[in-house]
Amino acid sequence: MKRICMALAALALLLAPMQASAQDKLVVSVWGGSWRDMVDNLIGKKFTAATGVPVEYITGGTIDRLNKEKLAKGNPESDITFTTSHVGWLYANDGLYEQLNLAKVPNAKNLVAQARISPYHIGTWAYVYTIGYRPDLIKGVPFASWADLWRPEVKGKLAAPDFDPSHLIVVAALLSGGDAATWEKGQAKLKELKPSFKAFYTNDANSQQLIANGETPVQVILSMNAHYMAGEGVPIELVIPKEGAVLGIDTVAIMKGSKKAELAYKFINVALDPQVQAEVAKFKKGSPVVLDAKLDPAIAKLPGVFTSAEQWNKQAIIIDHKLRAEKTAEWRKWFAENIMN
Amino acid sequence: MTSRPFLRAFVAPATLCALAFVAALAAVMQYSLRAYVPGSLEPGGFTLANFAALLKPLYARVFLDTVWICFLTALFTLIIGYPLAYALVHARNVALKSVILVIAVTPLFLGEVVRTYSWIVVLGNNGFLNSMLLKAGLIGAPVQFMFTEFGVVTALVHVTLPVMVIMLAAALSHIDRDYERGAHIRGAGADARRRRPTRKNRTALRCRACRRSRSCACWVGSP
Repeated sequence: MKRICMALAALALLLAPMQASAQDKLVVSVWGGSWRDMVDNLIGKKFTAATGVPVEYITGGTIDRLNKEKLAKGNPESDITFTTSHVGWLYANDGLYEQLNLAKVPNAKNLVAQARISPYHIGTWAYVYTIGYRPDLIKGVPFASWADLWRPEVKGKLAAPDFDPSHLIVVAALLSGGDAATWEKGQAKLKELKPSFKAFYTNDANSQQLIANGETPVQVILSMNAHYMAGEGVPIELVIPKEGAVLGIDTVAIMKGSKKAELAYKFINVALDPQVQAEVAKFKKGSPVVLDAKLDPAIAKLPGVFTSAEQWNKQAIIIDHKLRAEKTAEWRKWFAENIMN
Repeated sequence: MTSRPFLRAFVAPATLCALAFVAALAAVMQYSLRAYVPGSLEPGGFTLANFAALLKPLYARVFLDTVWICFLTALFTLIIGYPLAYALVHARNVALKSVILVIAVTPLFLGEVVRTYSWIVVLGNNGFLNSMLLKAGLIGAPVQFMFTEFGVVTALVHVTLPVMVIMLAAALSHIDRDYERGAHIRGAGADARRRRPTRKNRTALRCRACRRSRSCACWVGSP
């Protein structure tokens, strides 16, 4: 009996530090693969060096993580969540986010206006969906305007995402004198684009494969993917049409009910550090969201990388993020029924 | 009547799992009967509108397309898989058997994504097939194989072929080779030898010499 008690006491002593250290870590929810690696290498490690608190990651798809956090409402699995700007509104609308006090994030003072998404979530980096094409496979089309996608030379050559048609829906609405809220004005225009489509890609890898092997030499493509393929030697031209490119912003927020809110604010502050922002831009070829980030000139001149307020204001088509959260399901249904069939 | 004193105890875990599974399905199914509220993760009240939307002709057409592609896939998988399975079962050389087995099941070793991308390399406009046809001068411009019914059925046949071959081989291996030899001795042609002994639940094959005699010892096939 004595031996059992001593063994139990020894076990308790061993477990106690493990329990304490488990409580000290910061849990971050983010996409997997290179996204997780980037957040860990550029933000997480700096945060740990500054605070001594390790970072643990929960990875998964955008909607998968949303569903898991909804089920865990009140007792969140993560302290911080990275997600897209409009999906962030779904979190916020369901009361899953803490309201942010940006006074606790000194680096947010230079946050660009377009990255202040809501009282609950702010941008961390940005990108655009725009026209990318293979100049070696399609010639004589400058793609100076979104309207060039409707040209006969593009027939049977275009690919667009099947998971989010919001870019083309809003572009068609703009070309028809409407906007995201009056998107129905662009329906006829979008139906006229149907002959141009050859395929709809299901994910980033699929998009890269289709344009790299020339199956779809014109795409509505994520700028980061285009720059990545160009770096791999694929001859891709990325253009910002005169109407602008459709902006996408990835955001960060603190989960409601997190017991590490103070640490979370420090993590966000590290994420918005101008040097970290410059490194993120270099790694992913996206836009920093703070105006005091100093980018490598070669990165700054890339299409879709915005470094000044003027670029943000003139080159970006911004779909209201809250409206986009409300409309995405309806847009996907209409697009699948009328364009993808 | 034998007693089964442990039946309830042994069945209880499986029953509990089944009940939990049904409960989970019901929890998801109820969303289909509730209204979508834009921008919210919570569904609205009871509605049949979600099912009414399925009555659009578009969804019937999509369903029929699915059935048609499934039919074509099953048909072509059977046509290609049967000879493979037959060769696998009847090959005498062990090395040859192994080669046929490996070739037949290799598609299962690949992940779905890798397998799909590899078909782009074969069927794409700049892929192997078009390149060969262009070089041979049989076509003047690439033929569209990707994103067509042909391309979809080809890829589906590729992925279902291993299952078909293994199932057919398992069935063929249970047929006594003596039936085939008996049919051959009695004069049945090669095609009849292959076809008739392998049909399940058909009446016995009568040998040519004993066509009118049911007591003939050369009756073959399943009863």
